[in-house]
Amino acid sequence: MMKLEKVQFTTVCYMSALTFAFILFPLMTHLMLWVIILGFCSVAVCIVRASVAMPELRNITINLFSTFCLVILLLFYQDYGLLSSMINLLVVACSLKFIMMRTAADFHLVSIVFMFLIAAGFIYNQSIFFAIYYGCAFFFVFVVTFLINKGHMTFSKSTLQTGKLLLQAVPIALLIFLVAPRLPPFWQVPKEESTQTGLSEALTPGDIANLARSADLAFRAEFFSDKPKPIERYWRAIVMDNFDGLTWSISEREKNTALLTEKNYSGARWEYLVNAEPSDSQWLYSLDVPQIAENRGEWPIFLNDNYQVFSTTVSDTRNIYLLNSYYEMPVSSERVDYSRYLQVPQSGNILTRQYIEAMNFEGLSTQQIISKIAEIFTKNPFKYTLKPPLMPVDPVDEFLFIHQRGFCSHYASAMAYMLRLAGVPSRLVTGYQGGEDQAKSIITVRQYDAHAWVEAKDRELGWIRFDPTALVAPNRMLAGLFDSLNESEKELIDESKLMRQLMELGLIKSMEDGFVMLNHNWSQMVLGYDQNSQLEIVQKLFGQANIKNLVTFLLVAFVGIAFYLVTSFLPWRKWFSTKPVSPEMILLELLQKKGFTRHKHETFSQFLNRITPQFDSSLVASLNEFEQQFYATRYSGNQDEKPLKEALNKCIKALSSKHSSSHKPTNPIVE
Amino acid sequence: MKMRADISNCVEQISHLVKGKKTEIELSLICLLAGGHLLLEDLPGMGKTTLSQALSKVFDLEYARIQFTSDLLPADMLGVNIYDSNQNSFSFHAGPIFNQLVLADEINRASPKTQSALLEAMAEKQVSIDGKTHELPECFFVIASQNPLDQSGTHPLPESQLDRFLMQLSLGFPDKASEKAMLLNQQELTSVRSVIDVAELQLLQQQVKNILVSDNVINYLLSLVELTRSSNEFPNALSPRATKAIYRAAQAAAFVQGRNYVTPEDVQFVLPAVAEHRIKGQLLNKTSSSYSEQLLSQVDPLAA
Amino acid sequence: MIYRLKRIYWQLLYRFVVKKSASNEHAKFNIHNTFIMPTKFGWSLIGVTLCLFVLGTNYQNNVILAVCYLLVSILLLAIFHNYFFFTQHEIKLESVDADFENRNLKLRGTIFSQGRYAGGELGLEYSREVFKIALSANANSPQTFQVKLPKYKRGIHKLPVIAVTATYGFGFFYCWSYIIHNKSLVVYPCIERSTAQLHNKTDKEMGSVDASSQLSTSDNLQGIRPYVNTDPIYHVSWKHVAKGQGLVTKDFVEKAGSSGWLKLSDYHHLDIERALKVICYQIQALGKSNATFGLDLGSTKILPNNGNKHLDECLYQLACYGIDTQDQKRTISDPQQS
Repeated sequence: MMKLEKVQFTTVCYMSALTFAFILFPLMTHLMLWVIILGFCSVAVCIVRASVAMPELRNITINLFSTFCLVILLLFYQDYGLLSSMINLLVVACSLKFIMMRTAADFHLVSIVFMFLIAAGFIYNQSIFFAIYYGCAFFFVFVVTFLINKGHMTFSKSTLQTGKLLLQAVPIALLIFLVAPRLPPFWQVPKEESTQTGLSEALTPGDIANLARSADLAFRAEFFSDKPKPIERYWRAIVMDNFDGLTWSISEREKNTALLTEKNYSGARWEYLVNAEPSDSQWLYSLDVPQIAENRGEWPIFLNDNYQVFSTTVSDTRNIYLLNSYYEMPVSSERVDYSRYLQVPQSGNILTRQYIEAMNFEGLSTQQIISKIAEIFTKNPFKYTLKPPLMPVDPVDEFLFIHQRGFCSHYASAMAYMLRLAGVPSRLVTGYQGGEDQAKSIITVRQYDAHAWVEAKDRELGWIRFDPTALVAPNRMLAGLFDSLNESEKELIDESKLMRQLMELGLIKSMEDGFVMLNHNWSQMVLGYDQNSQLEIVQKLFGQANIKNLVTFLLVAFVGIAFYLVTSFLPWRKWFSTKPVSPEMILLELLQKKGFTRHKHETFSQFLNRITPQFDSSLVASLNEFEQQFYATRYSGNQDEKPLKEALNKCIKALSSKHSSSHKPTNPIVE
Repeated sequence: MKMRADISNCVEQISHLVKGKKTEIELSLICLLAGGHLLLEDLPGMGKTTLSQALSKVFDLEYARIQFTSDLLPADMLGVNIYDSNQNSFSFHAGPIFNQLVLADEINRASPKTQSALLEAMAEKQVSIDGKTHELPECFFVIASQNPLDQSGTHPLPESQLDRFLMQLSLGFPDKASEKAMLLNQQELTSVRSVIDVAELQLLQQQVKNILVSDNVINYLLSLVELTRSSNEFPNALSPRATKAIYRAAQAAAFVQGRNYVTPEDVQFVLPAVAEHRIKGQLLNKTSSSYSEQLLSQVDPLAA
Repeated sequence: MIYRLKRIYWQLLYRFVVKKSASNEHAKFNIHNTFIMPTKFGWSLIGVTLCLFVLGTNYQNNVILAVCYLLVSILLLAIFHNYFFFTQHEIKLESVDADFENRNLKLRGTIFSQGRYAGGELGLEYSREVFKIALSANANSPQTFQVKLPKYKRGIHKLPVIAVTATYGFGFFYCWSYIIHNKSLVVYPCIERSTAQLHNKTDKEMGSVDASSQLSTSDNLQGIRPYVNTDPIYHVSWKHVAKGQGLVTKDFVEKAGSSGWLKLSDYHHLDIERALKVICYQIQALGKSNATFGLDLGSTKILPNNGNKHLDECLYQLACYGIDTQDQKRTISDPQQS
């Protein structure tokens, strides 16, 4: 392979160095530290090499070094998982190649690795910003490959041309994207650990505090009706009934709660769409009392007797579904045996037990019991914090009577335990509370909105929601977690302070709203596009989603692609050129169709003299007239074409009327 | 328009003498009208001299013949300054070149020195002897004849000098009928009448320059010339002077045809005579088809 | 056996190439003589595309799938772009002037381009060498180029079959066509200075020829004989030509007896190639001093003469000496074999 010329080499080097840095940046969290350093070093080396002549490294050095790198990667393979190791490996390989780059083939190799890295990046993050970011990187990669054989084009022109070529490909890509059948996974791929966060199915007080430190997106909801007030936004997800003194969990019975049978919904309702990010749990999010209007996700979703929305499959795909929530209706179900909601561990948490036993609940309604028990939080100096002290033994006792500092799970756990001791059937519910208002109709819920609260059973009202945290930190409910924290605790949430401050400005806020809207649509239309959406389109187009229509759909798309190619590559410019068609050309063409071809060197009259002996007199006369007019207009400076055109018409008439039928030329090419 | 009739009369007159060579006669007239010089290449006895004499008669031109030999000196042709003892000064004795129509016979026999003296005179229409310039007659027309390059001891004209001749013609053998006619009624040179006088000839030459050449024809002409420059098939490319020559000859051809505009046919008519010797140069043409035919066959006259 | 198979393979390939080539010095490319295949880079991109499809399907990741489809459509369009880029060009090769062996010969030509694509590169490939020609950013201006030819031995050579290639755009596809140069290349032997040889009889006699005037006169006409290609033109008897008796040459006594001959047989003690080199040097030296000399190669004789044309003729005869020009087989990897 040939080495690149100096000038070309420099630009290509700069460009690919830039691209590499660009691609490396978002991958940094998945790379080992030394790989990151190696990567950026190689970028620097590449840039230096482009501008200054440097001795080339010997192959053996590079080979030794790469073996060394490979060994290190193998050592850490266990800790990093397959995918991450692969990416690390690719980055290392790319970096090493970067130091040596010389020929076009080297640049091509690097470009291929770039494309792979970009695709791998999409495994980790698929938001629209990221897509745009990597779209730019993608563009850069193509600019690099274009620059390699651009000829004498300028850099800016090459960039433009690259853009043009890529944009041309977009419509076809879109069509394929719409049409190509969505296949199930070929084999089970290793899950990305720690990539998906979410609620867990067991709650030990303190757990949610960890969750609260994540600013990752949990889900977005788009409201078609009014939005609930912040304090009404209790996104239910998991119901836990089993308490062992330390941890709340879901019992088998609870897990297998029967599906909701017929239910009469009535009253006012919220209508909304939930677009849930992939999570580890099967439980989905809803406001009380939910009714599933439509499922747009890949896997079916159900509603059980506890009014929990759930999917039977835990997968990497997002769930998109439409819900109606009848917020005025009580949460009640008649069929349930309430005894298990009174279960408490036989031992432990003795202080609490004594505290409840000392109370007298005679003749009180459930509501009254709740408020009486909750007095403990209002009368004592409880504090809401993200950094609760550790309470390994008898956590309820320690929380209530010693530390009196805790996070929502501590409050909810303690409250539910106390209610059970007091004989009120109760359970712990986790989910999200609040969410950020964005773009008018959208509520964005992040992991730090995770919350836990209590539901207690009243004989008439059904399950009553009670949130003990609200008593201690009312701000948490009104303005979200963020405002309920003091400055030092805010820093625990991994989101840059600057960002947060910027967001508080109005302009940024509205811009962000736009982005959120975009991102929401992106995740719904692109990320959520699946077989069902495909079928829906088919249904809309052809009326019915059967195999036949699906095939037609495919065919139509292929025809569309073919048509696109034809329209963009046929020489339209040549066909519709502005070159005027002259009368003599028309006549010559006509005569050619009759079998009389002019030799290239013949002048008009020579040609006519050669062919006229085979014509009858009237045609000869009109041809001669044309010839005269032709010479007059073309050579004697007479600009008027009119007589020439008239003569042409006569010739055409004479040609079509007589000659064509009378005698075909037997040997048209007579020298 | 009377004058055009005269031209056909001229052709008529000359063809009494040189039978069966109407095209060549027309071409030589065209050459004269375009104001260029003529090179005749032929074997002896083909009628070169007769043609030139007839031309001089028809146009009533002063005629001189110079027989070129290897020992001919420039002075023999141009003239010398002779000391006149009566007047005690040198006086110029004009050579045979000071005539309106000069026939330079067998030009390739003369030494290059003499050849170039003639060609210089042809180009400049004046002669410089001993620092004094003598103007040649206003209507000056040279017909040079040369034998084909068949003998050693000849000096073939170099390409640069071939270019000075507007046309090269070759009369060739007459056909049987013409030769028979020639034998049956042998015409004397004296039988040729003068048709056009010198003043009229100059007027005609002026008219020729006003013949219209449309863009289409110019483009055709230029693409012909361009092809000789770009293609490898032609040993010598046509010079701009050659382009001008074809242009002028085509004008004259149109004039002779009685048209006041040039058509591609005119260009095709004059091209072999004007361009062949320039393209070929000194080469021996071994192929049967001439370069100019080859050239014409490759350019589309209507493409302009 | 293997050699024969190889030969058959090359012959078949050559025949195919001839059929499919643009076949002359002014090559226009179209659907009938243009081939297109993915490059290595193109193949690897196809591989990446497949990988991405698997990856995207396994992770049920629509964005990766979208990237994959985008790559598919870019590849699809690249075929067309590359083809149309390639066919918008015309290449005109100039014939290569005769030269001495072991010189760096240049193949010159012009690229005409018309149409939509500006810039880009065309490659000329022959005998496993690739020459890239960067094209001008102005799409419609013709562009000249020159590329190095391999070094040739003495003889008359067919020029190698040239593959014109293009990997326009991103270099995914490789579009190519073959041009076969119809004109052959004459390579003269290189010169070998040999002072010792200057003393021989040829040299001495050259002196005497120089002294006596070389111009022959028609008086010493010896007779006529049929014209051979190497005879000077002015020895052709035009009278016979005019009579339609064909080309005949007049033989002059003086010339035939003249001693200004370079004879190959003088150098029989040298190996033939070396002898030709020595003669080549002598011809050059004599040509420089504008001397008149003849060349006697045994089978071919050139009558004494001078001038550039004579020099060319002599050198041409040296180039063809001992080579049957009819038997020149052209193969695709020509220079290595000849």
